[in-house]
Amino acid sequence: MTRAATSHGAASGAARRRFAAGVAAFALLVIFAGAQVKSHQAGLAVPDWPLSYGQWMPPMVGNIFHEHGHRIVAATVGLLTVALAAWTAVAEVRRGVRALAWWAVAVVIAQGLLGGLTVRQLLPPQLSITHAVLAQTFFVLVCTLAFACSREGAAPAAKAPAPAAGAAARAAGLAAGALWVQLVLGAVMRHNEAGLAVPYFPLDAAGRAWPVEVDLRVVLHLLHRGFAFCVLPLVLLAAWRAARALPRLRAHAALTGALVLAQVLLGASVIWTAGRSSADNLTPVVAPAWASTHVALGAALLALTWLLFLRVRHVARPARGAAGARAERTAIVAAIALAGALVALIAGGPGAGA
Amino acid sequence: MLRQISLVVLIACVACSDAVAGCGCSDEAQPAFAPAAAAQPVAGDPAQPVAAAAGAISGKITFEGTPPAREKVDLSPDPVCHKAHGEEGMQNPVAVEVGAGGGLKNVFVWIANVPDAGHKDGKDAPAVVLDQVGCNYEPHIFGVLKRQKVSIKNSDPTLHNIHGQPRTNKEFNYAMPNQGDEREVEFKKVEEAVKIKCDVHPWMAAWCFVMEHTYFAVTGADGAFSFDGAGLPDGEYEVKAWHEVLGEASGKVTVKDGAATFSHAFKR
Repeated sequence: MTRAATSHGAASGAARRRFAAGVAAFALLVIFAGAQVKSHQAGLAVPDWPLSYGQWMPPMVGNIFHEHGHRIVAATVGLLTVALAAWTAVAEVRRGVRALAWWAVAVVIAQGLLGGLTVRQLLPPQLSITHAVLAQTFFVLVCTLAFACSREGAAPAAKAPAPAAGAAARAAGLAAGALWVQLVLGAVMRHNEAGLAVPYFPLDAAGRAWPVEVDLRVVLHLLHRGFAFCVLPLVLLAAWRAARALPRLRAHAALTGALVLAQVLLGASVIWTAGRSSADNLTPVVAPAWASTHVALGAALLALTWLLFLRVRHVARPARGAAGARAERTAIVAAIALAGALVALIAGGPGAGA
Repeated sequence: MLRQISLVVLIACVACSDAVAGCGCSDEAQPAFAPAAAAQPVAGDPAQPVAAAAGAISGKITFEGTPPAREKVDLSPDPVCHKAHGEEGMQNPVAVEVGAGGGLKNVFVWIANVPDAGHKDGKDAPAVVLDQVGCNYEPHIFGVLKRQKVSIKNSDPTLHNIHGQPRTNKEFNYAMPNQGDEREVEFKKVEEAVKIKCDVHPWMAAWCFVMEHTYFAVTGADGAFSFDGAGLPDGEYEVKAWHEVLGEASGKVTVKDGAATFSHAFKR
């Protein structure tokens, strides 16, 4: 291979890395836009799909701005994903990475169809929850692809595993799995209108932490709130272990740790910033920007923790052995299966059919 | 590794599909809906006396206490709505509106236990009109007979969606993008307080009561209501009153020659 050809290949690789990272960033924007749709209760502001009021570009008035805006950015990320997959198919030598790119295309198409179905079916909670969970799963998938395209992801694994890297990888994998479960719990809570079912934090005016009246919405709310305090130490532990095992990941680990703390604070802020309905001055009403940012930051945290897992695992791989790999696979699959089961069991909650 | 990730994503998709399949959702839970019509609301006339007129069931609904302060709606997201109300703006239509003498506006009042002989079907009744004017619904609350047509109009030069959210009848959501658009719907089953909303303009809300008789009315600005009691056998009946913010109340009246009076005070 000539030097010119090598240089061209390197430049192409760098461009694809940047493009993959850009697609991932755009996917996060779509998640925020989708969260805004829910926060503004705009999901049915455009009753038809795939067209919007029978046209490609309706006037962006009222809540049409949120719903149709979401459709525009979502369609864009779909096209970008197809472009990334095509580019990867042409330029990537690793078969697994090419397959991953096409998986991303399949998921984004499924996600688009699911979005249309939610509108056509008038937003049954089950579909909306699945749509929300699949959005972040797609985001993680694209982040994985971006990592695989990066220099670090493309480099061969270290010959000598870093000490304690195996334990750090397990901690990061567990934290990422827990965050995914938390995402499901959050989506179930949100799409059953339970985000403000317990409208105070940490204590109510009478100093009580536990609500006097408990119904299913309160339970859904407390599940998400309570599990946050399980996720918090898991993510902090993962960040600490990763930073200790691999000093070059300190910045990544520190950002992950900071983000999980910010996310817990933001979750509480959704409660603290809730307004009151102007009709009765009683019913709590969510402040859209806070809730949407909480969703988007949650997605970013999930991706960041997953990437931490991938980076540590990349180094830890030689030390894992077959048993370690099986355990890791089992843990990931179990976490996802658990979350899926939670969706199936809880999604239909109090809002179903309402 | 990548194969593993692919497997994980596949499992996630399957899990999500299972979640959808396992939902036992909407079609069964929401009975069929057919296009229909609605009955003309019998709004309380502020000019009418509170005392029962011959053959009329009338009265007054009041509010005691301090009503929640009404806020102006932010109409800026749609210039058409903003222009319709000018600089004065528009107050939230979902509100506790208290008039002279504590009269409470927009309370739906009806006889709850009308004998079967008094039941009617609205199939042949003239349609009730629900108009979208100035990014608001007119009327704000109304009653229709089951199977009576509700003719929904869009008098605004902007887009609305009309989203009915019944719990017993079938939910609907239609686009009404053009001024002058019309659409007819009907409710097949009796149902109280069906919310009708526009998701484009979230302050827009109307309430529809699907009835099987015509012994109902909506209070006017002074809290008064009146409806024809003709055909109602003498006896004691349960009267219900419903307000969108204050909820439901009930009481007893004795009807004689189709006439009776009923009053109630919501307190807060």
